[in-house]
Amino acid sequence: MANILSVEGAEPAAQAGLKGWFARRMQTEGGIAAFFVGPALLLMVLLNIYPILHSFYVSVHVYNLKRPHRNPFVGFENYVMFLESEDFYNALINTVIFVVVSVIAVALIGLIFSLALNELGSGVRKWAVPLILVPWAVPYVANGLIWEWIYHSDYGVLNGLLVALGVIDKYQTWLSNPDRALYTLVNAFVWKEVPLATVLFLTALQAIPEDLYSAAKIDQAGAPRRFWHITLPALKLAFLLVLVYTSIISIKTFDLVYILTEGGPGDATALVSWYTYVETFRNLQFGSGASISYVIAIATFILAIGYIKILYRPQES
Amino acid sequence: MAAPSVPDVKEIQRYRQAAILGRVVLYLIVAVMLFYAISPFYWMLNSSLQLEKDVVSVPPNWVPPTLNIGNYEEIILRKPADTSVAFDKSMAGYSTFPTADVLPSMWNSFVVALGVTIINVILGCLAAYGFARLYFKGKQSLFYVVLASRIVPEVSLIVPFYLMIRGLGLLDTYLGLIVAYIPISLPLAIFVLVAYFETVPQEIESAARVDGCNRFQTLWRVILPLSAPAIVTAAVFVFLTSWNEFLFPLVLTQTMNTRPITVTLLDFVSEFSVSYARMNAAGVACVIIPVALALMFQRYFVRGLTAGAVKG
Repeated sequence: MANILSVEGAEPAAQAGLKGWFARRMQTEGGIAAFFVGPALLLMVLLNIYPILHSFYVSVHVYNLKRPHRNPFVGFENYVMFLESEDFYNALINTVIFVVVSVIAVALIGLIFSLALNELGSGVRKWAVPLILVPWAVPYVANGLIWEWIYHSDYGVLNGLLVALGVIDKYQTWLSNPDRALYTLVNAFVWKEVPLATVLFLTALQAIPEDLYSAAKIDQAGAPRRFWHITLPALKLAFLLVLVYTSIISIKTFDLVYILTEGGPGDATALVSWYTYVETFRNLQFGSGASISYVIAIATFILAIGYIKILYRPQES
Repeated sequence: MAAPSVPDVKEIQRYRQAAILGRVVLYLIVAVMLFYAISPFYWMLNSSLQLEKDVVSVPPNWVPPTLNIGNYEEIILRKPADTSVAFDKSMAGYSTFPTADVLPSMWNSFVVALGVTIINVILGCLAAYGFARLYFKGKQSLFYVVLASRIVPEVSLIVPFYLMIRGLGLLDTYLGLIVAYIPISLPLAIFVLVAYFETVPQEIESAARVDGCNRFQTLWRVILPLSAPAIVTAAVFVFLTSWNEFLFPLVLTQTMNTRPITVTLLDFVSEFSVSYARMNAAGVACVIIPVALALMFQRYFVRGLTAGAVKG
């Protein structure tokens, strides 16, 4: 093992056998890289790639826990079945609405907050940033609990506040109202995800050299033009990070649905992850559950590859 | 090209008014922002410090009419609930209000999250150095694969994971949870660390190498000491992700021996036996450590993320 600690290329390794092989490996940069990257990669393969592949195996069989010993191979029947089911399309539409509204809201609110923080002095930032970061840190379960209590139709403070302000006359239902439920979910999600977006935008804004703005002012560029030609381009990467991260997290949203609505009322807030969960753990159809999650995973994967391609475009100077 | 005219007094005044107005708008935005971020926490804390009868009053009590820490005592010491208020005792399940173990499950959350943090930060530093500094075949695509594997929804992994953890005999153990959590936060840790390592000037590393440091020593003595913000960021990321995990422990734990606080919280939200005051007290117990961590380390955190958000 001492070979790892020696400077590669310092002396030719002459030993034979496993030790010699190891020593020779350590002479090459690729071999050293395997030492550094290997452990993490191995765990990711074992604990992520393997379950993903196993999940595919399950998805082309009938796995019903009520009949645990009969797991016939059915090919893509599970896929055909859920792709033809109306419940799935309902969940898909809910998810698309949820993701699009959430991502736009997170990016927009985060941008406005970060611009305001950036304009104000570092004195304000120093105590404001830690405080706004707090919602990001809490578990989605607690997030759900907090908002469930705020939305409560009999005792909730949202109703209390709106009545006190004279916006509404009497207490309303929020989570149990089919027209509002999905958006109450969006709000709870956005509340938790805005802080990170704000911080990401803010760090990008702070990295813009002040000279650029001074130069633009000398050239008599107005505030809108400065924003368009200096600020926005500098935020490109932060934008992409926020979009990627928020999209992925929002597609996966499950905990919030579990705590807040359980997909209800009716199926108004059944997102695909919730639909998968119900199919798997309530209907105990493991095969069909796995096939749904496989399709979601592939769809998300394609989306992410697209994002990453944009994110990691070779640097242009 | 008209030469800029000399501004007169009125114009200066107008500019000044616009500047003041702008300032007011900015402070207003920050005020809204703080209200948005903090008020839900205030409301939870406020409700947790009230008597049950005050919690369910209409209109709501903006501050506790009588300060009551009894809810915390009850959920921590597992005292039976005071059933004399707010609810009919005959209500199903109420007399046997679940006195879930808040402290033990907080401890479970802590142990598991700490374990995952230690493992993932070590593995993450090693891997990030490889990705940031070494050349090897297929590096780019491997990096994508590691990042992309974070994308798979947890719901789709839970069944294979359940079968795997059960097969290993690790159901309802700390190790089982740690194993399940590792792949969730490892890619993010690597991502944050790679972005930061890449900002450490190559010259510093070359100097160390000339002085006879091998790769491992270079990482240990040169890169890591310069990367404290990224390491803290990655550690906090991993810890919070693990503390906040819900679906995996819901399926992989069976008893109080390993059940984390996120799952225990469910007992306080169940439909038939809700005490809203205690529900909020349990909520406070669930968020207090993540919130404390975020407040303690946010300075590092912002700096640790900067590399990722700015480069490019």
